[in-house]
Amino acid sequence: MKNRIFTALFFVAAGILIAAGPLHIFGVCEPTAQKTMKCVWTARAEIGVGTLIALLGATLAAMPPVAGRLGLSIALTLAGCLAVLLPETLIGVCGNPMMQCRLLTYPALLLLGSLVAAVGLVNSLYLFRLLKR
Amino acid sequence: MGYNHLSTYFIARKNLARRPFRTACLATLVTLLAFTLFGGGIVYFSLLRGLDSIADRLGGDALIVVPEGYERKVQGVYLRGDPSTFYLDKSVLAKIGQIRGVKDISPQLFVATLKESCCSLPVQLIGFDPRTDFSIKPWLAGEMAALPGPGEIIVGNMIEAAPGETLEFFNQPYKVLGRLAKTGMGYDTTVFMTIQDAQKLLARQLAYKEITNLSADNLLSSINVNVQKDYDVAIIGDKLRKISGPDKLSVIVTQNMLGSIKSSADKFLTLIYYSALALWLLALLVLLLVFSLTFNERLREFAIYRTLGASRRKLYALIFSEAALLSLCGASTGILLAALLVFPFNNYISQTLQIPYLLPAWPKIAVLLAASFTGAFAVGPLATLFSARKLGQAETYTVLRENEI
Repeated sequence: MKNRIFTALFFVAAGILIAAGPLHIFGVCEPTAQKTMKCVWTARAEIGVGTLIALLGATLAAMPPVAGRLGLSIALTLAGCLAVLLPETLIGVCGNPMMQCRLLTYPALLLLGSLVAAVGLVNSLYLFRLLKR
Repeated sequence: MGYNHLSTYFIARKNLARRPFRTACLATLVTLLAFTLFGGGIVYFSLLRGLDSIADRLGGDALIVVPEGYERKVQGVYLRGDPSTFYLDKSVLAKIGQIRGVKDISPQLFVATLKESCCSLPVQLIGFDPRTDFSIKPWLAGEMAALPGPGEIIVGNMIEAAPGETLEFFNQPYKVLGRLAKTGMGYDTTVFMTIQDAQKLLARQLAYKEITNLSADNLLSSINVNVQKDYDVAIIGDKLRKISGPDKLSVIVTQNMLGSIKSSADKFLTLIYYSALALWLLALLVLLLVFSLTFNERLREFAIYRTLGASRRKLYALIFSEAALLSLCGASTGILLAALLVFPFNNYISQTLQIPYLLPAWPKIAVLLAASFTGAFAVGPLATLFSARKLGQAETYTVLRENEI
């Protein structure tokens, strides 16, 4: 029970950070009238992925059956990978390493996405073992 | 219940799990310690390497002549790569050459590109004269097979362009001859080219800005001056300041500039050093107190182990294992957290500190990791030494009788 709540809390917090971080905490570059950069689109896409992670995390807290939690954990692992892939390859960020998005948003999203994927994977393995017992 | 359930490791793990709050607090303390040791260590050695890097590139007792009021801008170019464009009339070059004690002089031209869109930050272009240069050429030649010729550029490490590629500045194509290794200073975001090419670009910039009273061919930004051995740098500096001409001159002594950068970095270095030391002592003291206090609470438990046949050695091992497990968890977590912050946010830290910052080489990072881990891990087992000594003095029978009252 305790483990489930702590894990769910982590996913909800990470999801909120992924969704809101690129816009408010570790913001992307300011768009101008001339051009909207890739990092702005990445930030928008991360709102969806982050919200999904937070909702899956909240569902995890309210889901007692182990099999159901295993499914949610696998989904969270994949959502974490998606959160990493959006700034890394799928959309990307600005090319200049000195831009705001490259200095702060990109490493923060990589870190948060990797943590979600890693915790999701460890939780999946733990639940899988629990299910087999 | 199998035999393994009586192993020291198993009992130690169960004892820690039985007091989750105490275990979590102590592990957090070790985590904080490991985080400070490793994270602080990385920042400490990055600052030291950054200082070495800038000393290597600006070293020597040279003088830099700049227009008066632009000293900070020049420092900004060297330290952070803050793009700047400023001019000095070329006629001053001949006057400097006439001063006794001046060994070499070499002009440089700084041109900042324009910010065209949201994704392109201005870049600093430095034009230098490969025939007379003595400040850039020595280390540039060490990294590059050839120096830039007409239409060629060498780019800093943080400019994304591979050798052979073409970059455009003011609609002029330039072939990238090479990309420098990371320096941790402003040169990472700088483009090096010949002074003639820089003058052509400046002419285009002046035309774009509709400045018609200046001719780019007659403009320089700074003049590097090397002083002869027997002459005093300060005296030559004074003579340079007094040169009359269209511009008032100011002189930067590279050693003074390095000194001021070093004194800024020293504040950080001292802070990191003393906070790591203070935290190490604090962690040792807290763990020592906690183990000592809980030891008194647990005397009866130890006495029962003794009556069940556990040797004193087994009890030492038990206390030691509990501390080691705590330290292991705390040290690993602390180092992992520090690594997750200092490596991905390396450029952000560098940008925030505004001091040359260059990550240490990987072998040094590995040594630092091992040292931080050992330093953080050692606190737990060290803190148990006092309890272990007390354990040696306690008599099983007396302890059990005392607790019956």
